[in-house]
Amino acid sequence: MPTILEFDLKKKLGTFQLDVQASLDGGLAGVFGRSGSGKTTLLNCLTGFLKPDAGRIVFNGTTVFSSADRVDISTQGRKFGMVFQEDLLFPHLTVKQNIFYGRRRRDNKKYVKEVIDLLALYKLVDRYPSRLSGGERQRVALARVLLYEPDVILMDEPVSSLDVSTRYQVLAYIKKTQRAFKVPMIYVSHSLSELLFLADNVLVLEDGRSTDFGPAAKVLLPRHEGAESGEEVENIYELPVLGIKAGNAALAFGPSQLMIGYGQRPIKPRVKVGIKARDIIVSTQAIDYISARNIIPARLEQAIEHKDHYLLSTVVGTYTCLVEITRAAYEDLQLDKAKEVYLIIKSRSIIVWEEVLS
Amino acid sequence: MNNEYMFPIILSLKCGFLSALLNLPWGIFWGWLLGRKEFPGKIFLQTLLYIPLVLPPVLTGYFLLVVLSPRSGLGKFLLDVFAVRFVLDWKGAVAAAAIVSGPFMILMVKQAIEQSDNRLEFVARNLGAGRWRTFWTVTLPLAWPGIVAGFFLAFARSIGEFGATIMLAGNIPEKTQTIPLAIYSHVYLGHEAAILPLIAAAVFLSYLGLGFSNMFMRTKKIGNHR
Amino acid sequence: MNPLVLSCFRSTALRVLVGVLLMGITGHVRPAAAQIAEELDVCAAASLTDAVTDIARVFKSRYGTAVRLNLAGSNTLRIQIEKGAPCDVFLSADEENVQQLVGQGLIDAQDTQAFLRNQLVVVVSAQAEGALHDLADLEHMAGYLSLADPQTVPAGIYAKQALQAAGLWPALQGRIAPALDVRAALAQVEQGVTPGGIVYATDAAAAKNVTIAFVIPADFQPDIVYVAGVLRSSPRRWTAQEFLGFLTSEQGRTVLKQNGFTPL
Repeated sequence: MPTILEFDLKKKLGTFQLDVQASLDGGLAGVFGRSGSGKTTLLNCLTGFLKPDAGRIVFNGTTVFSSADRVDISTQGRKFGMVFQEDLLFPHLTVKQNIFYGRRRRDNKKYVKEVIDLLALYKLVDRYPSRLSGGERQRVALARVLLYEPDVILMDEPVSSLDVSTRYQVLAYIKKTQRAFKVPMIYVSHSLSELLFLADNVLVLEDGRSTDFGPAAKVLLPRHEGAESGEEVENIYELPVLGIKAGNAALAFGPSQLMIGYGQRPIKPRVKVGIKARDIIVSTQAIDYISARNIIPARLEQAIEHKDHYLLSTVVGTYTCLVEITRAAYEDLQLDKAKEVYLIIKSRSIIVWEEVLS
Repeated sequence: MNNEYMFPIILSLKCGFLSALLNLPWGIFWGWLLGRKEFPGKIFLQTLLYIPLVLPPVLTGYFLLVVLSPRSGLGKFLLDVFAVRFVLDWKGAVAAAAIVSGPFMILMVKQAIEQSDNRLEFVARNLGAGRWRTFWTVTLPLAWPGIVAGFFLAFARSIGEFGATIMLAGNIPEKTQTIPLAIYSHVYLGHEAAILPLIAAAVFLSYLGLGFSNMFMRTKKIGNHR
Repeated sequence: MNPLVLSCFRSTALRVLVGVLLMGITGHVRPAAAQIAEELDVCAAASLTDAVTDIARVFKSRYGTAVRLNLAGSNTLRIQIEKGAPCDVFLSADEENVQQLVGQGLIDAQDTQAFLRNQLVVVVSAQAEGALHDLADLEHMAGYLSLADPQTVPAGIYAKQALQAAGLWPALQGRIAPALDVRAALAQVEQGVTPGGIVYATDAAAAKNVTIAFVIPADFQPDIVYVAGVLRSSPRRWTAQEFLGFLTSEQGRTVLKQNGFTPL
């Protein structure tokens, strides 16, 4: 994949010193850093809000900043799009007017339709932002940035202000969008699970320095088993171990329990697990006489309609669980009227990671 | 309708609307500058722009008289080139009203701009909009309620303008006599019978102007969902 | 009757007789324990501004009374008095306003006195370019003519009478800039707001930046008489009457003449 973003910069702000270099290919790159690590400063340098003391920034082959060559293209000149923590939609414009605001071409109707379809916005185009939910607003923000067709999309913790049940919905959309339109994206966050879910490669920032760079799972988890980087795992949890018997462990999962195959692993107090949305079966009744070990009552919060499937957002205790089912199944089960459902998960479908990260 | 009080009422309405209208570009420009930008000397500039608020209106009128009379350079220029005279002319009444109500417009616009989210302007620029487009499509619409509030406040203030008007435009019946001037003249020159309709008009128009202004000041920001 | 008692009676009677005669002549009775008041409220026509200030100063140095002046157009003063403004002496630029107060019982007819004459002049600002030589020139003058309000203020009414007498009122009627009193009219001319105005000769003398273009011809000069009156409601009537007396005394007349007036 071509190099989309290349930078090598130093910036001093008060007592804080930022000194980073990286070369990010296309796809979805992540920047991981806790608060104070310099990720906001890095973003501001990339966007042109701040001027680095020294260094170079290259967007898609164009040098937008170079202290050596005295190049410093203004914010407007750097063709990047940005998605913020707050959606920052224009409150006085409709969804349609918002997403068209940055549109430069008149002849990309097909692309426009694809974006609207992918982000499930067709029912919302004439509404005003005040009438949208948080997740819907971020989808509109994403569409707006996509229709601007920038070289790179920078995302600054776009889901942190959303409630938990909506977060992963939006993340799923972000991933789908990136895969479909192949726009290079850089996702900056302090959340491991978000980056694990989304990013191909991750740059780790600590105290203003880049300490690691590489595939997400490799960089964010010292070791991993069972999940390859790049595969989508929508549901990731850190759960306490209640007990181990005959190679199986019972994990506390809200008010219920999750049974996983544990094998010969050393005993740990907490485990990190992942379940793919399409590996979960939904039932409207409790079922006996079934081989799956996990039958978990859950509350159905939201269902997002896609072309050929539904993405359900369910809640177990304090956890959100995303489930993918076919459209036909949704209609047959009449899930639009359901409130309580049962999630059926095979132990073998649950991915277990070794280490627990704090 | 008796012409004795129709003229002042119509003239006051004219002055009110024209002065508020003239203050729109003036108020929007300074309100935007003071509301968005920081720069050295901002406080001094702001104080200067707000001075008509506290200066005795007769003094404001006197300054206007000195600046705009045909004796001064500016006054002579305006007279010769544009055939516009302010002294003892209804245009002087408009000028006086505009100057004293200017600060109200600036104040309202400044407040509206300060309250609007300036990150939205960044977003617009980020999406490729130039300065003008950003101003027209984002800044201005967001500040709109403040601008309208300012318009009506300026209108209301103009209705009540007396000191500057009598200094600059004089108190010529059927030419420059606005409602306040007419009321004052009638009382102090002995025609008390005529003032009731004038008082009613003055109170009504001021109330209306202030009322509309309040309406727009209390309007929530457009689409405010937080 | 005892002759001694009779002779006492006769002396008292004589005293009473003298007292009554004195009352008739001077018009007032000096209260047994009368003292000159410390303050006096005088409402005076605007055109008397400088003159009455001088008078007040001399009065104070002679009697010790502080005179408070309220200066405005005579009709404005009349309205204020009608509405209860505290006033001891009213100096009006015409008889009409005083008569109105007499008619309302606010002034005793006996307490009034005409004391001054004046005349009208046409003034222009000192920097004026065109020259006005006589009333006919007013017709060709560009711009407005400053007058005190010709409907209600004495100076304006007098000016209107003069213009009517000269047959110029219909032509100039639409070009009048009315002011609230004669001094305001004067100020308009002084500041160049209007090219010319009609004021009292005494006013022209008071302004620095104004010159007299010409005196209105005697044929058209109205009969300008200033009248003074003491208010019935005045708590200091005796002092007020003293003031009036001073106004018409030799010393008072001198001060008035110094200010350009013609005392009666």
